[in-house]
Order: sequence, then C-alpha cells, then structure tokens
Amino acid sequence: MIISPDRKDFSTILNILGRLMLGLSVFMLLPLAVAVFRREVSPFFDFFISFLISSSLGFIFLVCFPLKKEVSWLHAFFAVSMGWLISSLLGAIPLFFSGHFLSFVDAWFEAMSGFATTGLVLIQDLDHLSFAHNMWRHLMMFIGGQGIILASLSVLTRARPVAVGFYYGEARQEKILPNVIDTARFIWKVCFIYLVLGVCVFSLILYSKGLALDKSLFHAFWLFFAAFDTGGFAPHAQNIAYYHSFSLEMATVVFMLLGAINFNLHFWIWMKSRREIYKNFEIKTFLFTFFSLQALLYFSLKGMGHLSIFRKGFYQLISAHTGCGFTNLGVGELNNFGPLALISVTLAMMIGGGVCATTGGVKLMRLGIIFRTFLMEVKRWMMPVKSIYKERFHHLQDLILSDKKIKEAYVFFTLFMVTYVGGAIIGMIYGYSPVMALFESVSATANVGLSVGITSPSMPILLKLVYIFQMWAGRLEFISIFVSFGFILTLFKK
Amino acid sequence: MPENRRQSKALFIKRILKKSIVYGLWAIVFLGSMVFLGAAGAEVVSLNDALADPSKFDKEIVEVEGEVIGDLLKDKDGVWINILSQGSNIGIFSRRDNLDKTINHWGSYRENGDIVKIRGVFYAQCIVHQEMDIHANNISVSKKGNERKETIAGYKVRLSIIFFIICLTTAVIYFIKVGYLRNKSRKGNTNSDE
Repeated sequence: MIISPDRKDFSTILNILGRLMLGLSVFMLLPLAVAVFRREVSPFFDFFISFLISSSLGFIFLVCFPLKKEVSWLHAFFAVSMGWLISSLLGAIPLFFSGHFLSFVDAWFEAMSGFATTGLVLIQDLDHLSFAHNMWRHLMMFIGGQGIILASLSVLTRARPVAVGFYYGEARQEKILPNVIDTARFIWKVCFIYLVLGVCVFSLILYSKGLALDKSLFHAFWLFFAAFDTGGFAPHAQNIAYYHSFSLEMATVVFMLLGAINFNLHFWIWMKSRREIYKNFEIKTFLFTFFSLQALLYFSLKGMGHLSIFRKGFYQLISAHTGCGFTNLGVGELNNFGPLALISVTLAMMIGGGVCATTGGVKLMRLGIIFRTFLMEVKRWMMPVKSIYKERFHHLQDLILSDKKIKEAYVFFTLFMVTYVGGAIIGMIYGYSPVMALFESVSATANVGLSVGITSPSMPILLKLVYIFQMWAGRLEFISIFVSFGFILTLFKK
Repeated sequence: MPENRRQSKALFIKRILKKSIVYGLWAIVFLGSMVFLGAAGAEVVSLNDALADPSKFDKEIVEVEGEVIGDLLKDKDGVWINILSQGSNIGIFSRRDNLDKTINHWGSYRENGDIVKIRGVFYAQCIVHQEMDIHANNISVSKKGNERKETIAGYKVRLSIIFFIICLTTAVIYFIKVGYLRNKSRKGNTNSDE
C-alpha cells in the first residue's frame, strides 16, 4: 500500500526545509566574513542579503509549519530532494548579485554544479571574481560533498533516529558505524584531518610558486574543497592549468583519490586493517578500469610523447574517474584529443568512484557486481545443472553476491545509462555531435565537470535546465527524487 | 697647380667611391635584414585564433595581446604569467629578465591588469612544460591597468534594510513561539506531577 500524504506530512516536510534554510544561512556567514576580511564591500552586501533571505524564509517556515508528525523516511526523502533544489536556488542568490552571470538560471546552474560537486561552470570573467564569491563557490562543494541536509541539520539540531533517512536519501549506501550520526561525525572528522593536511600541502606549493601567504592559504582551501569533494571548481578560468605546477597537479591527484575512496574504507584503514586496501573489491575494480582506460587513452594519444601523455592523459583520466573534473588543459585541447580519447574519458566519468564517497556515476561497486554477475552466469552454464554456485567478493568482509545486490546494481546502472543517453539525445537535438553531447551529458549526470565546450553561457536555456536536472538527479541517485514525484502524484490521485 | 687639381679630383672621386661602397653595403645589409626579418617576423594573431587551430601556429613566432591575470608564478628557469584575451587564457613562459618591470597591475577583483603585448614562440604542445604555451621573447605593456571601482548598487542597500527588518521580525516571532511552547509544556508537566 502506498502512503498518501496529508497536510500534516507537508507541514512536517516544510518544517525540515525551514531548518535546512537556517542551516544554509549559517554557512553563508563564512563568505560574509571573508568579504569583511578582504574589505570587499559589494560582495558583503550580496552575502548579507542572501543570509537575510535564507534565514527569513527559514524562520517563516518554522513559524508557519510546525512539526506535526514524527519524521519518517518518506518525509526525509522528500525533504532531501526538495532541500537540494531550494539550497541551490538560495545559493545562487549571492552568485547572481555578483554580476558575473548572464541570468539567474546561469547562477542557479553554477550553484547546483557546486552543491552536486560537479564543477561545470557558466560564470563569466572568473579571473575578476571576489574572494568572498570564490569562497562560496568552493564552500558549496564542501557542503554538498558532505550532504547538504545532514550538514545543515547537524549544525542546528541534535540527532534524530530518522537521520538515517536523510543519509540514504543523499545517496550514501553504507553506514560506517551503527549510528548514522556517528557515521556523519566520523566523515566530518576524516574531512577535517584531510583539510588540515591538504591546506598545508597546497599552500606550501603555492607559496613556493610565488603567491602571497594569504592568497596561497585561500587558494589552498579552495583547491582542497574542490579536490577532496571531487568538485572541480578553481578560482581561475584556466582551472589547474593556471598554476603551471606539476607538483600541485600531483598533490590534487592524491586528494582526488582520497575523496573518491569509500569513507568506509578510510575507516577500515585508519581503525582496523591497512591490508584491506589490497583486498578491497572497489579498489581492485578501480585499478582494472583505470588501467584499461589508460591503455585506450595511450593509444589515442600516442603521437604526443610519453611525458605529455602522462601529464595530460593520466591527469584527465584520473580527474574523470574520481568525478573531480579538474583539468590542466587549455581551451579546446580536450576536443583535439580525438574521439577515442574522448570515449575513454567518457567511460571513466560514467563509472565514477566508490560508494559512500563524494563521487557520482554508476560507482565501482555496482560495476564490479555487474561484471561478477556476468562471470557467475558463464560459470553456471559450465557447471552441472543441479549445482548451486554463488560468487563471493571482498568488501571490508567476505560477501556473497546476493540477488538483492545484483538487482540493486542493475537498477542503478540502468537509471544512470538512461539519464546519460537521454541528456545526450537532447544535446544532439541542439546540433552537437553524438560524442560531444554524450560527453557533456555524462559529465553533468556523473557530477564530473569536464567539458568539451558545450557548457557555456550561450548554450540554449533548455539544455541548461536539463543539465541542472541531471546534476541534481545524478547526485541524489534518483531514488529520493522518484519518491518525491510519487509523493506529489498521490495528491492528484485523491 | 693642374697636378694638384688632378690629385684633389682623384681624391674626391676616391672618396665618393668609398662612400658609395659603404652606403651600398649598408643598403644591402639593411635590405637583407629587412627581407630576413620579414621571413621570420612575428605574426600578429588573436589568442582565440591560435587556440582554435593550435597546429597552424605551432612553433611559430606570434604576437598576442591580453590582460595580465592573477600572479607572477615562479618556475625553475623562469616565470609564468597568465593572460586573458577575449575570454581565452594562456600561460606565458618567460625569462625573468625578459619581463617588463613596468607590469604593476595584475588582473583580479580589485584591479584590471595591464594589457601586455607579447612576442614569442607559440607551442601547441611544449616539450619542456607539457602544455600549450607561449615562450616570450619580448613582453611590453601597451596599456596600463587600473583599479576597479567598487560600486554598491542602491537596490542592494534597500534590499538589505527590507530583509533585515523581515528577518528580525520573523526571528522574534519564532523565539516568542518557542518560548511560549516551552512554557506550555513545562506547565503541562508540573500539572501532571501535581
């Protein structure tokens, strides 16, 4: 039986959304502080207005819509999907005020790209953007990477049993610790330890390159947010290529990989056994897919020379596979790689990183399960008819490849494929070549952020909206969005 | 006397011949160098054209113009500057002594960077740096940058005031409501205790 929502359900959901808006307004105080510190007057007003709008709406929702019901999973799922939309809309306000966007839709696109840790950009004249706005662009990735709802609610409210609903609603499949709040706290701890480490490494490199100390610290923060949360924004239009630093590129590779690894695996390595990294199913799948695609890329770039292939091919591939979207290429260079290279990068983007990480895409676990299922079927045909055979794999512990896991892997795989192809078809309708349209569609859905040039302020508005939807759906992995649609549809059935 | 005149005439002719040979040689050298420089001369290109078809300009001497952006970045054998021209960016590698000391404005939120004219070799795929760049032979400032004036739009100030009042009002209402509910539940608890 499908539960039909009533007014009390909506009141409860709007109450949660009110808390979310208040949480978001608290995060806006950071760029506001940066504006004060850097004496950026106009950005100060941008963030002051946005802070006031967010908190006013938050208070209005809390006053008008009290918590009338115990928060259930259904409420959590609906609040998650709507929460991400509202956050991106509110997050777009200071960006729009900056004057660096053609329209509010462009600013919304950028905000959704930030929160979904995608990294596709529509901003104009990025090189003249204020520190406060840059802080907000990168902070959005950090908040989004942790999960907006869980992050916002953890700022304001104490743990509730339904936190697990928010946790799963934001596309995290695994709990690290029995309690979701403990899990969220562990993720925060991991992030802050890596944050300190990352900021030290990046700022040292940047300072040695000649940046002023305060500037190298700011850039280090932003690059860490973008690398660890596999976002891909950078404070300059040239992205990572701006710094002309091989050591910085290698440092970002380390943090991209750390961000793409399952947080459960971080926990296991830190707290239990370091050997897990050699046995883990996701790591093995990653090594297999990465080196296969690297070989493909190598053949398509063989005219370039080994060093260049390593510097450019390896970096683009790792950036695509981890879902980060950092690039050290110049304008149009990716297109000149040729279709085979574009296909290998597209495949890497499609796959993505680990579950329970900040990456998007089909995910290594699901791809590995699909591959193992295929092997299992082949083996089954080669065995006696009555034999019972189950494939095993190691992910933190030895697991049997159950029908439930297989079904889940295929459902998500199909959903991602349909969205990838759907976006590509819309791109093709607008006249882009199939390879380019697929590349951009995958980049948006898998929250990567690499672009072959389709994403630009001059692109058709419908395509912008399609990519916004793809980023949103891809980040939340569809389910909470479908539940929300179902929730709304039941209203019309009454 | 006639012999003296003849001698001076011969000297005069000699001098003219000498001068014409010297000027002739100069002319040859000048014309030759003009032809040589013409052949190896810098092609003034827009950055967008070079980036649109990098192979066409690969290892060619080009002259580009753009705004200096960000920072001066150190490297092993030189320095990097990044320029922005018609929405496109590229890194310029240069020896430190090549760099015009008069670059004072670097494009950022606070400043419009100096517009520089760069003459150098364009590499679609630089072997040394493994990136698309220009190795500058000469960098000169063609237009001075300036400070970007911060203008605070009137509507932003008005919006701030309006939303400040709304936010304060809603916050007060919310906290009154929370206080009222807390008192109510406390009273309920004491009543039930009695």
